[in-house]
Amino acid sequence: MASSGWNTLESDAGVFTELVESLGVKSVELDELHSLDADYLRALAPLYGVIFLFKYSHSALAPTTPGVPQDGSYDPDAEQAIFFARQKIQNACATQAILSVVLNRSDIQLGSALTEFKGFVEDFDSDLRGETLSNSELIRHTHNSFSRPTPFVDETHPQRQAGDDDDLYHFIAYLPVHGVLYELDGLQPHPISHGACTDETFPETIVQVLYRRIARYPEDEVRFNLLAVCHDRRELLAAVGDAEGLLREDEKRAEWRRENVLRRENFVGLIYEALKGVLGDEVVKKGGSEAFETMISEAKGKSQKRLEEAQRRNMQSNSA
Amino acid sequence: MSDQITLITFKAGRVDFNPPSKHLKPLPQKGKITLSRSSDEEAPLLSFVWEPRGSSKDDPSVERDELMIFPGEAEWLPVSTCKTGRVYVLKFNSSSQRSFFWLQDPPAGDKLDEISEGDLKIATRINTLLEDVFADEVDITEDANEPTAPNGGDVEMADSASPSNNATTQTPNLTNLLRSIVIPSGESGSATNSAAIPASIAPILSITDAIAPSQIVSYVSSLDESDPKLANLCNFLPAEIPHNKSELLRVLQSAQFLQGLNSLSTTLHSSEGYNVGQLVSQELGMPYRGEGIEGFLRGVLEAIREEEHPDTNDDGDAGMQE
Repeated sequence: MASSGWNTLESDAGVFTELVESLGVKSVELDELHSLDADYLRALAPLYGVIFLFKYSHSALAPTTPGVPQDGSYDPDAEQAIFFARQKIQNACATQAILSVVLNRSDIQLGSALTEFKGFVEDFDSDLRGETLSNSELIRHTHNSFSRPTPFVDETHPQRQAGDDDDLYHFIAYLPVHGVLYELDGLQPHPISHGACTDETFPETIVQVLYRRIARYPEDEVRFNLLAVCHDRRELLAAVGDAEGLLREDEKRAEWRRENVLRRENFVGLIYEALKGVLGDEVVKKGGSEAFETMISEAKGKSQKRLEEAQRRNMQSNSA
Repeated sequence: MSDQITLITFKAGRVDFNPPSKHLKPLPQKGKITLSRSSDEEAPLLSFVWEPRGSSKDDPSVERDELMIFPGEAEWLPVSTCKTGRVYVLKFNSSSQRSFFWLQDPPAGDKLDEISEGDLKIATRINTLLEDVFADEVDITEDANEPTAPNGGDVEMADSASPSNNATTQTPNLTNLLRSIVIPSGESGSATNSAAIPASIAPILSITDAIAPSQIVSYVSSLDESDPKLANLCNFLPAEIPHNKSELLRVLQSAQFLQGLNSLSTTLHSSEGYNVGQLVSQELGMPYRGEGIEGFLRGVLEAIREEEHPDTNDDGDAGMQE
């Protein structure tokens, strides 16, 4: 079944940058944006698009009036001219949002695999495009290569579909295409148009759209994340001869690489060896079985306490 | 015109069952189950009623449930995969309908999480009545004691909620288990008394509750650069990371390593009952000393002892460190 085998991806600029590179895209990076500010966005030029990540809830997504999105307007006619795919798999949404940006920018070099993919799905409707994306071995494999193998999974069973209680995050893409600011959200029936917009006006326009979007969430909702899809900073800095800036970017890249290496580990072997060391040193040598049993019962106490605290918090949030 | 004759009554709370996730969530309200039949000897229907008792009676959100059951239509079965409380399921043979309950009569012994002899007696009686409402009508198991608030186990099960003899039971899905860890929480709605697990039966929920990450860091910090133990630990670093003490310490303090600890904890804890502990110990070449995080830690302790005294190693397959 197509829905099995897409792991959850951590929302991280380093993960997504390496992901697009692994798909063959040239000279593109993603950077986390810490403020919603048009000047800040303009400094990232060329800015290809932004990816907005938020806590998924049905109420915030569902149109209040059927056929009308909460902001902007559906543009079914755009579906042929731009790449828009309905999302078929929950965990694929990060990758899908990134593809929604890169596949719609004529100024991005896609590489052969994605160029081929884009051509292949060109005449498909958005549902079939979504299916094709879900079934793409290359994309799924690349996507999955960034997550940690879960220890001791029985792989003969399909993965679970997320339920209502799960903290689900959803990714959507915003970018100017053909003079219009589009919101490309695979859970929506069509691309959503937010009116006329060019690369030049994109920073101002997107800030306004995102402010309106965030205002629709409850005040205490803070689980948002914004990523800029922009040009490889190193190339831009090298072009202007900014050695210091280049050094900073190299360090950033090295750290991304390191973190991505660690993300692929489950550390079970290291944990086992380290625990043997700690237990041998602190428990066995200093107090033998008695010390070990004390540690076990104290651990139960700590777990119990955490459980009670979680219950209290949950009760409070339920009564709030 | 006919009265209801009470056949058995006992204290039990409801357990919320979420079919998509196969989660069982005990609800904290106090309640009781009463089985009765009509005084009309011609009516073979068994009435199965759950209703709130004690303080939960005043809770307007708690509603009485009544089921009318034909002879042989349902069974009362223990949920054996539940290790943190005494949970039974009323399972209908003709449909997929199931109702889950957790027993609230405190058992005689101190094993609050195990099905007691009393529970088995009640179960036998219920199953007899489910077969035939006119089966002997001698004893009525009403506890004379003032209802006390028993400590409810917050049960959490991800799959295969039904007993093992049920042909439709799905094979335990470890992936589900691994992904479904939810800190058991107080119930939604107007629950007034939260069910807390007594410390004596609460399992360890995280390896870090036993050994803090800072203990690992200070242990490694204390190792001499030339200590073979340090080199051994470095061998478990990814190939791309330089194998030295400072890089090892950086890794041990990284978010990714902490996620690894959480992930292993979750695997061990939430999959209790599915022999994941055994799988883990096989994989690591470590003595197997039970399921759960406690079992895992006992295995680690055993491994240390075997490495210190290899001669007394009677566990054959114990993993030796390089």
